[in-house]
Amino acid sequence: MYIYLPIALTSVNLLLVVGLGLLVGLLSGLFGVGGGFLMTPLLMMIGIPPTVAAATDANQIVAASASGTLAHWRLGNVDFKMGLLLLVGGFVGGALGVHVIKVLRATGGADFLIKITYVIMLGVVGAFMFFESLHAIKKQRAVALLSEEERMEAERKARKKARAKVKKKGIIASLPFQIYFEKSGVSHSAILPVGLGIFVGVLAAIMGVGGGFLMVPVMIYLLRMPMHVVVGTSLFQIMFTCVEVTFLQAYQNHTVDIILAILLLLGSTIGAQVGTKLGKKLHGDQLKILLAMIVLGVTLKMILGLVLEPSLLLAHGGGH
Amino acid sequence: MMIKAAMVLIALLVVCSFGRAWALTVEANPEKIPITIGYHGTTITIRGKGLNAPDIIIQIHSKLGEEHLKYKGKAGGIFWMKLGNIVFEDVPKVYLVYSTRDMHNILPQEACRQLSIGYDALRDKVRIKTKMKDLDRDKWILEFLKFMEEDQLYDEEDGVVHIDKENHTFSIEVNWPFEAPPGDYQVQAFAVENGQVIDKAQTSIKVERVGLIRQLTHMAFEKPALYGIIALVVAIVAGFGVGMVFKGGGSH
Repeated sequence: MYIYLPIALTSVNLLLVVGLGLLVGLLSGLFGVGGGFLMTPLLMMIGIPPTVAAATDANQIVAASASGTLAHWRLGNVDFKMGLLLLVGGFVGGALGVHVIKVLRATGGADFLIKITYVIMLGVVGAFMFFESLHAIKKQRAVALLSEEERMEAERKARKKARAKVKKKGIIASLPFQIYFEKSGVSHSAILPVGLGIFVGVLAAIMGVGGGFLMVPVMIYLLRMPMHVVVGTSLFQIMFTCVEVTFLQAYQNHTVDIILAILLLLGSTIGAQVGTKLGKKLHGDQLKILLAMIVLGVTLKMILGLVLEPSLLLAHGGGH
Repeated sequence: MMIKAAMVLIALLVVCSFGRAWALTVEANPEKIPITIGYHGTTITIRGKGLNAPDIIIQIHSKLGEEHLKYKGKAGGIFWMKLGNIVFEDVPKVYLVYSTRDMHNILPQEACRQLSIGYDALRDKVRIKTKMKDLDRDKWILEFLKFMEEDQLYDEEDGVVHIDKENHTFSIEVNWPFEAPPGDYQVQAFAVENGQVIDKAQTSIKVERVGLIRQLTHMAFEKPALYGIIALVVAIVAGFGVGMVFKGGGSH
């Protein structure tokens, strides 16, 4: 069964598009990522123009992340305080990033920078998460094999290491505006999440994505938030970012295809709910290693796309 | 007296030439293609009569315009990526050419060029605007034809127009691509004999948005703020709605 898309000016298979939404929604609920880094290339592969694919993707992410945020909020997994600070930073960073791109486009070479940033960021984040999770899983298995005495000794060593780490955080700990984030069980200066939000916002704007796959590792490794709170908080922040992007794309560029968005969100909202429930059954490190493998897969595909000669030497404008 | 005779002769020639032009007819069925919500292209039957020639060429095209594209190349000698803009001028958005036999055996290249029939004529007329250094015109026109064929918007096929010699009719069924945008399209039929076009006829096809598709397009371009808000409301309601439904499942 086919359906015509009035803004994309193309006809698509209804089940294929709903299926794509379901798949990306599942990932969104599982990992707290918007899925933009996966959905936009997939839409382009089925013939949607790049500019329409990116804008409509932001529209469907609003639905998936709203659905996911609600599910995580019910489970008590959304740190609103942290989410709002990251959001403030994200908005500022997004505006800065758009300006950076404008300057780069004027001087030439922007496309090259965007593509290289994309590959490097995805590769570094994916590889780091993969090896870190692998190490954690191996460690858990080793601990399970230890005797009670050896286990206590290992725990004592780990506590000592953690105390040393806290001492090392000296400069960050001495920053003003210290806030305790009850939900995440961590204390940070408000400057840290706002600053990190700006950093991710700049990169997300340069790369043309929502930034979920960057924000999740930032929350885990730099803000030291527990994995279950990271997913809910990330979805909360992504929802607001994509509301802004959708409206601007519809208003300025006329590139949001509402029919395509409805088909995608039919799948993605259900997928997000299923993903959230599935995520509860999986261990944090198992989740991280799965996400790392997906990110590395996308990176590999992008590298192949960069080094192998394309069959067509012409393309529509927009996209990456 | 001489002048009068010459004028009568010219008038006769004009009438005759019009007479010949009207001898061949062509029609498209359907002439109007509505783009509805379930649209996935359609089949158009092009048929005509009054054919007194062994071969026929059918050409369907939109009006000439510009195609703004990006060209790919190797950046830094390693990575394939979009390097810059390239504009193809004086090209139709849709260009479909069908014939009874190999075009080059029916009509000499020179005649094709003069009458603007087929890819060869297009190659001559297209202009390229780009900042690319050392532009290889032939290579990029070939790439352009490949690109448009990939999108089903261009096609040149031989041996697909059927002729009924007894009834002096011709016909072809064209798979109209859903990728073709709304607009008016010209359908031209050329009757060819001994390497010359001896008769021609033309009609048109109109592709237009109707119903919901038309209303949504109108709103997206004429009331973009309202369109954006509706898109957001639909997304938020759907997201929370599905969330509520799942809660209703009683798993928490």
